Amino acid sequence: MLRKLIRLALVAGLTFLIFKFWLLPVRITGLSMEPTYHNGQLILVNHLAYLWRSPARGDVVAVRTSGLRVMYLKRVIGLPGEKLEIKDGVVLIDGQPLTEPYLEVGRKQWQIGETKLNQDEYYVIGDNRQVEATEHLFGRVLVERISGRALW
Amino acid sequence: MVKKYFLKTILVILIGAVIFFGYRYFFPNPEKQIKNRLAELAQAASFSSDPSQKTGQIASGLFADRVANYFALDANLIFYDLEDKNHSLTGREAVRRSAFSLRSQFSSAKFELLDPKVIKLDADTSQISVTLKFTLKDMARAAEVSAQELLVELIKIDDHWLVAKIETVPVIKR
Repeated sequence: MLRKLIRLALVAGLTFLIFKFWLLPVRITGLSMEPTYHNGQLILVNHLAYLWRSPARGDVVAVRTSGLRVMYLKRVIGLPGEKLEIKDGVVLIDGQPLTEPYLEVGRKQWQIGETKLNQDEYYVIGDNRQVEATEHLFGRVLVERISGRALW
Repeated sequence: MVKKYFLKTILVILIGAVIFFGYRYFFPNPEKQIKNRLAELAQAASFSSDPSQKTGQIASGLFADRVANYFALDANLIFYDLEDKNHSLTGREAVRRSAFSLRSQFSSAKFELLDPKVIKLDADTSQISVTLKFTLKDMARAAEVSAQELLVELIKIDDHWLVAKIETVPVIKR
Protein backbone atom coordinates (compact mmCIF):
# COMPACT_ATOMS: atom_id res chain seq x y z
CA MET A 1 0.00 0.00 0.00
CA LEU A 2 2.78 2.42 1.00
CA ARG A 3 4.76 1.50 -2.13
CA LYS A 4 1.70 2.24 -4.28
CA LEU A 5 1.26 5.62 -2.60
CA ILE A 6 4.92 6.48 -3.14
CA ARG A 7 4.68 5.46 -6.79
CA LEU A 8 1.53 7.53 -7.19
CA ALA A 9 3.20 10.53 -5.56
CA LEU A 10 6.23 10.15 -7.87
CA VAL A 11 4.05 9.95 -10.99
CA ALA A 12 2.01 12.95 -9.86
CA GLY A 13 5.16 14.91 -9.08
CA LEU A 14 6.76 14.04 -12.40
CA THR A 15 3.60 14.94 -14.31
CA PHE A 16 3.46 18.26 -12.51
CA LEU A 17 7.10 19.04 -13.34
CA ILE A 18 6.72 18.01 -16.99
CA PHE A 19 3.64 20.12 -17.64
CA LYS A 20 4.77 23.06 -15.54
CA PHE A 21 8.34 23.47 -16.81
CA TRP A 22 8.72 21.53 -20.06
CA LEU A 23 5.58 20.84 -22.08
CA LEU A 24 3.13 23.69 -21.57
CA PRO A 25 -0.48 22.92 -22.50
CA VAL A 26 -1.91 25.79 -24.54
CA ARG A 27 -5.46 26.38 -25.72
CA ILE A 28 -5.57 28.39 -28.91
CA THR A 29 -7.85 31.40 -29.01
CA GLY A 30 -8.37 33.23 -32.26
CA LEU A 31 -7.93 32.65 -35.98
CA SER A 32 -4.48 34.04 -36.70
CA MET A 33 -2.88 30.62 -37.20
CA GLU A 34 -5.62 29.11 -39.40
CA PRO A 35 -5.53 26.72 -41.22
CA THR A 36 -2.59 25.22 -39.30
CA TYR A 37 -4.18 25.61 -35.86
CA HIS A 38 -7.82 26.20 -35.06
CA ASN A 39 -9.63 28.22 -32.47
CA GLY A 40 -10.13 26.12 -29.34
CA GLN A 41 -7.48 23.56 -30.28
CA LEU A 42 -5.23 22.27 -27.50
CA ILE A 43 -1.52 21.91 -28.21
CA LEU A 44 1.71 21.50 -26.27
CA VAL A 45 4.54 24.02 -26.36
CA ASN A 46 8.05 22.75 -25.73
CA HIS A 47 9.35 25.34 -23.28
CA LEU A 48 12.90 23.92 -23.48
CA ALA A 49 13.10 23.80 -27.30
CA TYR A 50 15.52 26.75 -27.50
CA LEU A 51 17.78 25.79 -24.66
CA TRP A 52 20.29 24.30 -27.09
CA ARG A 53 19.41 25.92 -30.41
CA SER A 54 17.93 29.13 -31.79
CA PRO A 55 14.51 29.48 -33.41
CA ALA A 56 14.57 28.50 -37.09
CA ARG A 57 12.56 29.82 -40.00
CA GLY A 58 9.24 28.00 -40.17
CA ASP A 59 9.10 27.22 -36.43
CA VAL A 60 5.77 27.92 -34.77
CA VAL A 61 6.75 29.68 -31.56
CA ALA A 62 5.03 30.88 -28.41
CA VAL A 63 5.72 34.53 -27.62
CA ARG A 64 5.23 35.36 -23.95
CA THR A 65 3.64 38.46 -22.51
CA SER A 66 4.33 39.44 -18.88
CA GLY A 67 4.17 35.72 -18.04
CA LEU A 68 3.26 32.39 -19.58
CA ARG A 69 -0.48 32.39 -18.95
CA VAL A 70 -1.12 34.30 -22.16
CA MET A 71 1.14 33.80 -25.17
CA TYR A 72 0.96 34.62 -28.85
CA LEU A 73 1.40 31.67 -31.22
CA LYS A 74 3.12 32.76 -34.45
CA ARG A 75 5.42 31.41 -37.13
CA VAL A 76 9.01 32.59 -37.53
CA ILE A 77 9.66 33.89 -41.04
CA GLY A 78 12.56 36.27 -40.50
CA LEU A 79 15.86 35.66 -38.71
CA PRO A 80 18.15 38.14 -36.94
CA GLY A 81 19.97 40.51 -39.29
CA GLU A 82 17.73 39.82 -42.31
CA LYS A 83 15.79 42.37 -44.37
CA LEU A 84 12.15 41.50 -44.70
CA GLU A 85 9.39 42.92 -46.87
CA ILE A 86 5.92 41.80 -47.94
CA LYS A 87 4.93 42.62 -51.53
CA ASP A 88 1.55 41.60 -52.94
CA GLY A 89 1.22 39.13 -50.09
CA VAL A 90 4.58 37.46 -50.78
CA VAL A 91 7.27 37.57 -48.11
CA LEU A 92 10.70 38.65 -49.42
CA ILE A 93 13.75 37.82 -47.32
CA ASP A 94 16.77 39.88 -48.43
CA GLY A 95 14.93 40.36 -51.72
CA GLN A 96 14.19 36.65 -52.31
CA PRO A 97 10.61 35.29 -52.17
CA LEU A 98 9.90 32.89 -49.31
CA THR A 99 8.06 29.65 -50.09
CA GLU A 100 5.30 29.11 -47.54
CA PRO A 101 3.60 25.75 -48.17
CA TYR A 102 1.50 26.04 -45.01
CA LEU A 103 -0.53 28.96 -46.37
CA GLU A 104 -3.95 28.56 -47.93
CA VAL A 105 -4.56 29.68 -51.48
CA GLY A 106 -6.06 33.14 -51.79
CA ARG A 107 -3.98 35.23 -49.42
CA LYS A 108 -4.63 38.97 -49.30
CA GLN A 109 -2.20 41.25 -51.11
CA TRP A 110 -0.41 42.67 -48.09
CA GLN A 111 2.11 45.45 -48.69
CA ILE A 112 4.57 45.89 -45.81
CA GLY A 113 7.65 48.05 -46.25
CA GLU A 114 11.16 46.76 -45.72
CA THR A 115 12.27 46.05 -42.14
CA LYS A 116 15.82 45.21 -41.09
CA LEU A 117 15.90 42.92 -38.11
CA ASN A 118 18.33 43.57 -35.29
CA GLN A 119 20.61 40.77 -34.04
CA ASP A 120 18.21 40.04 -31.18
CA GLU A 121 15.00 40.07 -33.23
CA TYR A 122 12.89 37.59 -35.16
CA TYR A 123 9.98 38.33 -37.47
CA VAL A 124 6.83 36.40 -36.61
CA ILE A 125 3.51 36.18 -38.38
CA GLY A 126 0.32 34.11 -38.33
CA ASP A 127 -0.58 31.65 -41.09
CA ASN A 128 -3.96 33.26 -41.68
CA ARG A 129 -3.24 35.70 -44.50
CA GLN A 130 -6.81 35.78 -45.72
CA VAL A 131 -7.56 38.76 -43.48
CA GLU A 132 -6.41 42.32 -43.97
CA ALA A 133 -2.99 43.18 -42.53
CA THR A 134 -4.66 45.71 -40.20
CA GLU A 135 -6.53 42.84 -38.52
CA HIS A 136 -3.47 40.67 -37.95
CA LEU A 137 -0.77 40.97 -35.29
CA PHE A 138 2.67 40.31 -36.77
CA GLY A 139 6.12 41.84 -36.75
CA ARG A 140 9.41 41.94 -34.87
CA VAL A 141 9.84 40.23 -31.54
CA LEU A 142 12.80 40.12 -29.19
CA VAL A 143 14.42 36.71 -28.85
CA GLU A 144 13.95 36.79 -25.05
CA ARG A 145 10.19 36.84 -25.60
CA ILE A 146 10.19 33.54 -27.48
CA SER A 147 9.21 30.97 -24.87
CA GLY A 148 9.10 27.73 -26.81
CA ARG A 149 8.05 25.85 -29.93
CA ALA A 150 4.75 24.19 -30.74
CA LEU A 151 5.20 20.46 -30.53
CA TRP A 152 3.02 19.68 -33.55
CA MET B 1 5.47 9.51 25.32
CA VAL B 2 6.56 9.67 21.64
CA LYS B 3 2.95 10.04 20.59
CA LYS B 4 2.54 12.96 23.04
CA TYR B 5 5.58 14.79 21.58
CA PHE B 6 4.40 14.06 18.03
CA LEU B 7 0.98 15.55 18.80
CA LYS B 8 2.54 18.59 20.50
CA THR B 9 4.79 19.14 17.46
CA ILE B 10 1.82 18.95 15.10
CA LEU B 11 -0.10 21.38 17.29
CA VAL B 12 2.79 23.87 17.36
CA ILE B 13 3.13 23.64 13.56
CA LEU B 14 -0.62 24.18 13.12
CA ILE B 15 -0.67 27.19 15.46
CA GLY B 16 2.39 28.61 13.70
CA ALA B 17 0.68 28.17 10.31
CA VAL B 18 -2.51 29.88 11.52
CA ILE B 19 -0.50 32.84 12.88
CA PHE B 20 1.61 33.08 9.70
CA PHE B 21 -1.27 32.93 7.21
CA GLY B 22 -3.51 35.04 9.45
CA TYR B 23 -0.86 37.77 9.59
CA ARG B 24 -0.46 37.67 5.81
CA TYR B 25 -4.20 37.87 5.34
CA PHE B 26 -4.85 40.76 7.72
CA PHE B 27 -1.57 42.61 7.07
CA PRO B 28 -0.74 41.98 3.39
CA ASN B 29 2.60 43.29 2.15
CA PRO B 30 2.52 46.21 -0.32
CA GLU B 31 3.14 43.95 -3.31
CA LYS B 32 0.17 41.77 -2.38
CA GLN B 33 -1.95 44.88 -1.78
CA ILE B 34 -1.16 46.14 -5.27
CA LYS B 35 -1.90 42.80 -6.92
CA ASN B 36 -5.20 42.59 -5.00
CA ARG B 37 -6.04 46.13 -6.11
CA LEU B 38 -5.47 45.25 -9.76
CA ALA B 39 -7.61 42.12 -9.38
CA GLU B 40 -10.38 44.29 -7.87
CA LEU B 41 -10.14 46.72 -10.81
CA ALA B 42 -10.47 43.86 -13.30
CA GLN B 43 -13.50 42.56 -11.43
CA ALA B 44 -15.08 46.02 -11.18
CA ALA B 45 -14.69 46.52 -14.94
CA SER B 46 -16.33 43.17 -15.74
CA PHE B 47 -20.05 42.72 -16.23
CA SER B 48 -22.34 40.10 -17.69
CA SER B 49 -25.65 39.82 -19.46
CA ASP B 50 -27.07 38.10 -16.40
CA PRO B 51 -30.72 39.24 -16.02
CA SER B 52 -30.07 39.96 -12.33
CA GLN B 53 -27.56 42.66 -13.32
CA LYS B 54 -29.22 46.03 -13.79
CA THR B 55 -29.03 47.68 -17.19
CA GLY B 56 -29.80 51.15 -18.50
CA GLN B 57 -28.29 54.59 -18.14
CA ILE B 58 -28.21 54.58 -14.33
CA ALA B 59 -26.53 51.19 -14.16
CA SER B 60 -24.01 52.28 -16.79
CA GLY B 61 -23.35 55.44 -14.80
CA LEU B 62 -22.80 53.57 -11.56
CA PHE B 63 -20.55 51.10 -13.33
CA ALA B 64 -18.53 53.95 -14.86
CA ASP B 65 -18.14 55.64 -11.46
CA ARG B 66 -17.01 52.41 -9.85
CA VAL B 67 -14.33 51.83 -12.49
CA ALA B 68 -13.20 55.47 -12.60
CA ASN B 69 -12.62 55.51 -8.84
CA TYR B 70 -9.67 53.18 -9.33
CA PHE B 71 -7.88 55.88 -11.34
CA ALA B 72 -6.04 59.02 -10.25
CA LEU B 73 -7.56 62.38 -11.25
CA ASP B 74 -4.88 62.94 -13.87
CA ALA B 75 -4.55 59.31 -14.99
CA ASN B 76 -3.02 58.81 -18.40
CA LEU B 77 -3.89 55.80 -20.61
CA ILE B 78 -1.86 55.17 -23.76
CA PHE B 79 -2.74 52.42 -26.27
CA TYR B 80 -0.89 51.32 -29.38
CA ASP B 81 -3.00 49.70 -32.10
CA LEU B 82 -1.94 46.93 -34.51
CA GLU B 83 -0.23 49.52 -36.72
CA ASP B 84 1.68 50.99 -33.77
CA LYS B 85 -0.44 54.15 -33.82
CA ASN B 86 -0.82 55.81 -30.46
CA HIS B 87 -4.21 56.59 -28.85
CA SER B 88 -4.60 58.14 -25.44
CA LEU B 89 -7.06 59.05 -22.70
CA THR B 90 -6.25 61.58 -20.02
CA GLY B 91 -8.00 62.11 -16.72
CA ARG B 92 -10.43 60.24 -14.55
CA GLU B 93 -13.36 61.84 -16.37
CA ALA B 94 -12.20 60.41 -19.69
CA VAL B 95 -11.94 56.98 -18.05
CA ARG B 96 -15.48 57.39 -16.70
CA ARG B 97 -16.82 58.28 -20.15
CA SER B 98 -15.07 55.30 -21.75
CA ALA B 99 -16.37 52.93 -19.09
CA PHE B 100 -19.89 54.30 -19.64
CA SER B 101 -19.53 53.76 -23.37
CA LEU B 102 -18.22 50.22 -22.84
CA ARG B 103 -21.19 49.33 -20.61
CA SER B 104 -23.62 50.75 -23.12
CA GLN B 105 -22.13 49.06 -26.18
CA PHE B 106 -21.50 45.55 -24.96
CA SER B 107 -23.76 43.01 -23.30
CA SER B 108 -20.89 41.49 -21.36
CA ALA B 109 -17.23 42.13 -20.69
CA LYS B 110 -14.74 40.08 -18.75
CA PHE B 111 -11.35 41.46 -17.77
CA GLU B 112 -8.52 39.53 -16.16
CA LEU B 113 -5.15 40.92 -15.15
CA LEU B 114 -2.76 37.99 -15.33
CA ASP B 115 0.89 37.39 -14.40
CA PRO B 116 1.40 40.69 -12.55
CA LYS B 117 5.09 41.41 -11.94
CA VAL B 118 6.20 44.27 -9.70
CA ILE B 119 9.00 46.15 -11.43
CA LYS B 120 9.33 49.03 -8.99
CA LEU B 121 7.89 49.62 -5.52
CA ASP B 122 8.35 52.65 -3.27
CA ALA B 123 6.32 53.89 -0.34
CA ASP B 124 3.76 55.55 -2.58
CA THR B 125 4.55 54.67 -6.20
CA SER B 126 4.85 51.40 -8.04
CA GLN B 127 5.23 50.03 -11.53
CA ILE B 128 3.76 46.70 -12.60
CA SER B 129 3.98 44.64 -15.77
CA VAL B 130 0.77 42.68 -16.29
CA THR B 131 -1.20 40.98 -19.08
CA LEU B 132 -4.76 42.07 -19.68
CA LYS B 133 -7.01 39.37 -21.10
CA PHE B 134 -10.45 40.57 -22.09
CA THR B 135 -13.59 39.14 -23.64
CA LEU B 136 -16.22 41.47 -25.06
CA LYS B 137 -19.61 40.42 -26.31
CA ASP B 138 -22.41 42.36 -27.91
CA MET B 139 -25.79 41.20 -29.17
CA ALA B 140 -24.78 41.12 -32.82
CA ARG B 141 -21.48 39.26 -32.69
CA ALA B 142 -19.78 36.33 -31.01
CA ALA B 143 -17.47 37.01 -28.09
CA GLU B 144 -14.12 38.58 -28.99
CA VAL B 145 -11.17 37.54 -26.89
CA SER B 146 -8.00 39.56 -26.88
CA ALA B 147 -4.89 40.04 -24.79
CA GLN B 148 -2.45 42.87 -24.26
CA GLU B 149 0.59 43.37 -22.08
CA LEU B 150 0.41 46.54 -19.99
CA LEU B 151 2.80 48.67 -17.98
CA VAL B 152 0.82 50.09 -15.06
CA GLU B 153 1.97 52.85 -12.75
CA LEU B 154 0.17 53.30 -9.47
CA ILE B 155 0.33 55.99 -6.80
CA LYS B 156 -0.80 55.76 -3.20
CA ILE B 157 -3.24 58.46 -2.11
CA ASP B 158 -4.94 58.34 1.30
CA ASP B 159 -3.84 54.75 1.72
CA HIS B 160 -5.43 53.65 -1.60
CA TRP B 161 -3.46 52.57 -4.67
CA LEU B 162 -4.77 54.41 -7.74
CA VAL B 163 -3.82 53.88 -11.37
CA ALA B 164 -1.81 56.87 -12.58
CA LYS B 165 -0.75 55.52 -15.95
CA ILE B 166 -1.41 52.55 -18.20
CA GLU B 167 0.59 51.99 -21.33
CA THR B 168 0.28 49.06 -23.70
CA VAL B 169 3.52 47.21 -24.35
CA PRO B 170 3.95 46.24 -28.00
CA VAL B 171 5.28 42.69 -27.68
CA ILE B 172 5.18 42.19 -31.46
CA LYS B 173 6.12 45.37 -33.29
CA ARG B 174 5.71 46.35 -36.91
